[in-house]
Amino acid sequence: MDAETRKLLDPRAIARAEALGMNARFIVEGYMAGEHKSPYRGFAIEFAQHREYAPGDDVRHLDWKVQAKTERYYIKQYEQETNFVAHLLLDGSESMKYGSGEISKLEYGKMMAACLAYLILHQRDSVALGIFDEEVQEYLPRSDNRDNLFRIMDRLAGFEPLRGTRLAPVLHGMAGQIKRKGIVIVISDFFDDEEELLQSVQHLRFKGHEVILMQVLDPCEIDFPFTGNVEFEGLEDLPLIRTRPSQIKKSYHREFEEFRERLRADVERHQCHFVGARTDQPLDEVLANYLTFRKSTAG
Amino acid sequence: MNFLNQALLWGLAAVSLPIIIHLLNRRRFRREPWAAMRFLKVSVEQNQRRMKLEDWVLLLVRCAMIALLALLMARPVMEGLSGVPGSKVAAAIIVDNSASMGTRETESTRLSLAREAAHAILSGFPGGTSVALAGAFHAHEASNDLELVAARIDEIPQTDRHADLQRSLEVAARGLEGQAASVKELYLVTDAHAAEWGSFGALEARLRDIAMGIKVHLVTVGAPVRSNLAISSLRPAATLTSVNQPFRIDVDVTNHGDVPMSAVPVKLLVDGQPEGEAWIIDELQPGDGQSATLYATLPTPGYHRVTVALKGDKMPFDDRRTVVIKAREEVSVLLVDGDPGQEARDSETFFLRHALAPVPEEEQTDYPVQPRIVSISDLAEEDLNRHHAVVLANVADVPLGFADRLSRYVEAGGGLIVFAGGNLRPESYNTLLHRKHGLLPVAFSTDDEDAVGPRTVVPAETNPLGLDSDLLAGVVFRKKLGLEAGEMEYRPALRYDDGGLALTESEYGRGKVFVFNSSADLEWNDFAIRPAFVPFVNRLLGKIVQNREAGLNVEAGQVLRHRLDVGLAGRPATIYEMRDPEALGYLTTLAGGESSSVLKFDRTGRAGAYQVAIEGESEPLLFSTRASVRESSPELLGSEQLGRLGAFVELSRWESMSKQGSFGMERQGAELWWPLLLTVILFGAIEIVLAQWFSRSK
Repeated sequence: MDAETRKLLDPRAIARAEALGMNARFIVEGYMAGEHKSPYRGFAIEFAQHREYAPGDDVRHLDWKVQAKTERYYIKQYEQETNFVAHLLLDGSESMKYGSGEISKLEYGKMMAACLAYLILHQRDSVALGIFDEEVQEYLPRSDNRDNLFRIMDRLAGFEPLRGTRLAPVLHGMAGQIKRKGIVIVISDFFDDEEELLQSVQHLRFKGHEVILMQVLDPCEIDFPFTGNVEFEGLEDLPLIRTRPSQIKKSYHREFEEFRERLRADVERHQCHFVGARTDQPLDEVLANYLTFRKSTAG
Repeated sequence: MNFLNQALLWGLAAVSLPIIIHLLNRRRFRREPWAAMRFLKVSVEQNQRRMKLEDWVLLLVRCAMIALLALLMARPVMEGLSGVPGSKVAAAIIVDNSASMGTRETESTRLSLAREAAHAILSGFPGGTSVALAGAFHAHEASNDLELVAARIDEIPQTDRHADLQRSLEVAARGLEGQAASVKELYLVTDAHAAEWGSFGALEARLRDIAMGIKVHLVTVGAPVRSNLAISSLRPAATLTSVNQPFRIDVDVTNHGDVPMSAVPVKLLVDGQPEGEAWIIDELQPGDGQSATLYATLPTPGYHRVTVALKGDKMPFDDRRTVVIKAREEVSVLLVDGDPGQEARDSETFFLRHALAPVPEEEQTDYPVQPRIVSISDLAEEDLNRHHAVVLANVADVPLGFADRLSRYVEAGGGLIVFAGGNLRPESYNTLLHRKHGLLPVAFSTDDEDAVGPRTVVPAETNPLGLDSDLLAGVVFRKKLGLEAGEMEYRPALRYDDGGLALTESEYGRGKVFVFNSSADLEWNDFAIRPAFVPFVNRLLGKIVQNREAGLNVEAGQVLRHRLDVGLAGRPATIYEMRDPEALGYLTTLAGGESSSVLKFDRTGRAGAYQVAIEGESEPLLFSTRASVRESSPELLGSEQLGRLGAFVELSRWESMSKQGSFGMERQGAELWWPLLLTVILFGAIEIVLAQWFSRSK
């Protein structure tokens, strides 16, 4: 029995992975139950046939040419494509360990990745998973086998961060490695050099990938609610900073918001999608945000 | 700059508190793991200088506030500064009201001028000044109510007392030293009467000490007086004052001025009415004294005021003097004869009886002294309290019961005279009267009769009986009993020419005791047939009788303590000053004692007669006070002495109608607590605003 198999049979790993999987399934299917349309239909698909329009159908799928000829409303129906690839890249650096509440940014990111993997695999597309810090630490090649889901969950659940972040080299590396065009979803706080990050994103875009940057932030990082004398201890071996947070709160807010807005603007300038998430935000809201985006791009 | 509460300057150490708190706060940080260090670092770098500057500013403001608060508590005073609100002045004003302040000036007296000056001084004080007003003998509590102080100035009484102004200064200076004020001033308003300053050297040294921390002002009033005649002594010569029996009064008059006086009349008044012709002193040189002899008759039994008066001068307090004398219709003397003899002339009391009533037989019943002769066997039936004095003349033994009665009688105010003789047995006297009752202050020697050989007697140093030495010189003493002094108090009245005791005088309760260690007849001496014997016996009796009124004539300022019957204890009494019939009386209560009640009165500042009305008593009691003779000298401090004092004391002179407002113009020195308080409040406000401003998020 090889090490990989032994790891998969580890009861604690199974429990962790199953818990993550169950959570992801619960979130995704809970979301789907509230929708009238299948989320699996709508992107990466080929045309199949026409069908007469019925109330409730998305008007964007109306075939205007047929309507012009026949004066009747027909909806275009498509067939699913099965060889689509989504690359989930999760930032597993030490900065992702931060969590002011019950859940850290990494745990939240893991859950996001798990949900997306579940969603994509149930769509019979392929999913590849990479967990990185300064370099790629875990990588599962693409697979459309639903049985691969457990392996993804296990890798996600078992990962512990040890190093700092270097996003740009990792994305550059991925851009070089990934041969087939697909969607690259990067889950991170993006506390890294912005210029280099954008270059690497541009690299991915140059290679023809759709790029989605999902930024996970802790509420405290956004609100900065600290008072009194605080000694901030950097999670990536950065020197201590002693200050009275209440006296620099506005300055911090300004810097932080400028960073987020700049990142969002730069990312969108490169035709990439930017999704912001707070760890106190329900995951289904984030998924809805993502799926809305996908529908808009596929539509 | 000075500080009124220098000890509170230690509060400046509290300046370290904000610094310590600041340093402690810098060490006390809550650790927080953090991911977004990049933004934090930028924010801190952007704000670090500002935050440090704010920290320093706040720290400085807090330190300054505490330092100012400590300075405020220490109450700094800036010399040479005036007009600062809140500066406190503490002052003491002493208005000399001794007898010399009664000296007449052009329109008023020195004391009136002094009151004017005190009002002017008072008007120069800023509001809120704490002023302690004092006369020369009584100090009021310090008060901030200047109207009350002004009222008290008008109430300062003229006295006929002698003042010790050095002591008054000491008391006032001590009171000021205990006060916290930026300016301390001590005003002494006086006539600078030299007699009231004691040693000038000591005064100068003490004033110099006081002036180290207190601004001392010496305000003088009154012009020098060149002449002053004073009654320096008034002595009723007769020891027994009986109704309608003329008695002599010896008066000494002294010229304290520097001009000779001539044809000085000395008048006598009895109960305020002139008596006889005035005695004229022909000439009285400066510094000299002369005696005048006057004769008074007391018309009724009881207390009488006998006053001697000179023509009034500018210093009136010593121009009159009054004594209170009690007149009696009859003085009864019990003579206990220890050796009656066969013939009247042989009896032990023969000469005593004739000396006490030296008039023919037919006139003896009308004579004020009524001797009654009894033998020792008759004593049991005799009521001792009927008699003013009891004489034991050569009585052999003192019966036990009689000794007890005799001690009670003397204790209650009676008199006892013991004459020795051949019959007297010392053991009996020593056992009962000396050791048991302490009635005799001396014991008789138990040795055989001590033959003294031919000796004479002389008056003791003070000559309490006022006997003439020349008359005594002719008396020959052949025998006596030795006297052994114990621990009891006595005064020798006569001594033998070898220094041995002949006559002792002592007090026992309210009574008086004389012990003579030779005989009253011719057995041991020839005293009884000598001219000195009659005055000797009468003055013994006079001393005994007058002893009951002893202490009724005191110097002004002295406390009157007069013993009365024990039954009067607890009774209320009202005392009036007789010179001022409209004056309110002083209420008091007679205190109780073992064998007597006591009238105690301490408001004897004015010279003259006082009347005491005791509840339940029909006849009032009189007593008198006399002005202090030490006040009679008109000498004032000279210009040379005042010049020396002026080196460290502010000298000023107050004349009638002097310009008001001349005091306090030079007052310098201001307390800075008010501006400091404002500054502290300002710093407090700045601290609050800055702390709020700096803690705002930027």
